[in-house]
Amino acid sequence: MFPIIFRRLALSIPLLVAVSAITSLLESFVPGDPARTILGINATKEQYDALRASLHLDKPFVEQYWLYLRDILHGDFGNSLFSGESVLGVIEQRLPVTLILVIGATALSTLVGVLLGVYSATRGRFSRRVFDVVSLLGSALPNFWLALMLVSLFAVKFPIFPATGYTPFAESPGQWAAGLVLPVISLSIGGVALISKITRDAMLSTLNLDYIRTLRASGVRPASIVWKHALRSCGLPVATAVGLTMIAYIPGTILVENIFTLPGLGTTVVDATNQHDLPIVQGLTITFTVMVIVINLLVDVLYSLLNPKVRVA
Amino acid sequence: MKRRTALQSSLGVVTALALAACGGGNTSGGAGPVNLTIALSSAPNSLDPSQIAVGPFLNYVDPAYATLLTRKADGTLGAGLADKWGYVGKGNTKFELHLRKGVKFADGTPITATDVVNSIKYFQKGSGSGGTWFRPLTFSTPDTSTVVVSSPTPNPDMGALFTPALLGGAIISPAGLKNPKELASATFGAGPYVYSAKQSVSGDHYVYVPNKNFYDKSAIHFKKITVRVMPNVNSQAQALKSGQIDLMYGTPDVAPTLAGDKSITTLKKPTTWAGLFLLDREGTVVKGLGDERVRQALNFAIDRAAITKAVYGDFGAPLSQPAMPGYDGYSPAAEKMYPYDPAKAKKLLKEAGYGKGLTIPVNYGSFDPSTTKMIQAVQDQLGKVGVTLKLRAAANFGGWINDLLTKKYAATVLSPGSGGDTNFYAQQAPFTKTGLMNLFGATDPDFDAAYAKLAKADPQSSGATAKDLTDVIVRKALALPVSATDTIAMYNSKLRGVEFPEGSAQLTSNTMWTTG
Repeated sequence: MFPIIFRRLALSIPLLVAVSAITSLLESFVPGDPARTILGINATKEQYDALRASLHLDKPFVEQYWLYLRDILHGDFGNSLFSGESVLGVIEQRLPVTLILVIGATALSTLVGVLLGVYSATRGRFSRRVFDVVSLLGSALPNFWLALMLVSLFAVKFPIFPATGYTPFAESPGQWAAGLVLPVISLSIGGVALISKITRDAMLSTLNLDYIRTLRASGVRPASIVWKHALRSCGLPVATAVGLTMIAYIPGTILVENIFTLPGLGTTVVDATNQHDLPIVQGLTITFTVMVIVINLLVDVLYSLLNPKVRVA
Repeated sequence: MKRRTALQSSLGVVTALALAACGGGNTSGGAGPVNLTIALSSAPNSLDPSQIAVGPFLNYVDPAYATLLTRKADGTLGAGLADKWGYVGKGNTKFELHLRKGVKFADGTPITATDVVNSIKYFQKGSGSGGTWFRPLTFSTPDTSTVVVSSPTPNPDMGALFTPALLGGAIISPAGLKNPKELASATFGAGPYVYSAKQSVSGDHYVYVPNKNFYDKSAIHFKKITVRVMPNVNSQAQALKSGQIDLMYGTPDVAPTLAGDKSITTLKKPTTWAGLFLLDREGTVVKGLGDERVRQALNFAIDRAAITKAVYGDFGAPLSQPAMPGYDGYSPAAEKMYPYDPAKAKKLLKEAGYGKGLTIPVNYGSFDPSTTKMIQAVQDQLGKVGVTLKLRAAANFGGWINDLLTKKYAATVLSPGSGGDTNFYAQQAPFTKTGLMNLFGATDPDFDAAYAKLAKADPQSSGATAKDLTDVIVRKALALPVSATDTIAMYNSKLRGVEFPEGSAQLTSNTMWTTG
């Protein structure tokens, strides 16, 4: 197990360097001048030159990137060009909101997706057709549209949940939970559709295998066959779907956080991009990459737990 | 039994969530908001008054920084930290301010004339949008509560500099001036509230709590003022409908969706003029623009009513002058100078030697959808008289400024427009020789004479001279205005005192609003 984790982590280092280099390069092509954006048109030439120098914008791209990389190795991701806050501070403050959203949506979509998939696989053809239509709708509905509909219905027409905003858990656990209900639901719908479809297909294949027939013939209870034996065999494809879904939720949070005005990484990345706040954009890109690496690692670990053959491969 | 327990638990959780959710609003029964929550689309770049932009951004500094003077709803100047003010002598160059007795900063230290001067001197060095006006000023302090401000050139509206509209009169304490870096994320003012970093999350919400050292406790109307950053204007509208926020600035797309909701009041006022700044008025890049007849032809060639209706709908009005109805300098006579007349435009172009047309490079910010629509409509109509606009779109504000400073573009569109000041301030930037938006340093003797006359005008005659100035600008076609566009404020109907003061483009200070 540990060699797998070690190998994966070692491979992630060049990946992170490549991502940070590509982000910096792409940012350098974005038209506009961060110093001008910050200072506006009123600034004098002296103010403008001083700010460019302090941001290293007067240096060639390679030197700018090298300075950035050097600072990162010293644990300094720089400061926001606008608010002056440290990038790590911003990430630290906002990461929990995004993580809660991603984890909440993954948990919800896994639970509902697996239940629906199993239910559909064990029912008749008509139920499966209905399931196919609902599943297709679930994957086709854009989550921003769904979010707006949920807000209109459950925050405005029937004011059960707040339309926007985030309350920290320490301030009020009830309001914290209430504020997350609609964002988590709107984020998770696509995942529910994917996980339930994969679960259903895997379950249908498994239920036709010889050992299931043997179990049936031996008089094992149908519920036990489905939930204890067959579902375990479906573990690999379902774990893959959960991993993919979780990764898809990371960019998904950008829209959902913006619609519900949650102070997470998604809203921050949009603001920072609009403001041309390069240190924040770079810091967040690295954070998102780390999140994807960690999720992939967790899926790999889960794989090797479910199927020992993977450890040998 | 197990199933029943699970059901009961589920119901319990849902009920608890619903109760918790219902308890989070701002309103308290029928009494109106106890706390005030304002939504804005962008976070401030800084809380430092010398760095922050004006307009809606004022909401971030308004609560914590008292200004020397205020603007009353009738448009006249009101007392602030100063309770007496006025010009000294004739010529509009010296202005005196007397500080109110016993005023203190939020940290409890008394405010002296020297503190006021030091604060304004700090402001002079800043890059905020009001800084330009303060740079030429000098100061003296005859005693500890009097400040005399001197301007090298006449200024008929010096008091406006010390209102929230331009922020130089938002006095910063010596503690703040000592650590200018801290001004970005904390407040060091003398306003009715202080910024609470502990309750705020930078970039998300900014919380202000009452200042126990404020000189007038009766003027503190809220337990808490919160400014929430909500980039999505549809989310703002939903939050306003559900009572989570009390005020937002609307857009022409969103405002109609809230129409008919009695709990929400919509206020609109023309505050900016949209159109083209004809930068190259001496024909450096496009020779033709140096000819008055060509500039007039451009003004005759556009159908302002049609463009305004298509782009701004109910939230704009056709306009042919760089001043808006209800503001200083608006001239009904100027409004009639350029009726839509493409035939006349073609005739003027032919007379000027451009019968076969001419090409004008124009830069604009495509980050503002209305600006994009407007300039494309203007491009289409000018094309019909043979004038080609070669458009250069900038995806962000920094890009727009960079393009502008290359001096390759003979005209530009200032997004979201210009206006809302008295004519003396409004026309300085685009048309005076050293004006910030006069990139080519163009001069016009008629304009200069009219501007100098306005600068020296006494309050009794300044209205007429301001109109004369507008007439000159329009007659000589120094710009190509298209529409007067509205600022839209939508707010909880229980709020009182939310209004645009007479002749001003900015809402009254949020500290002046009340409830119930």
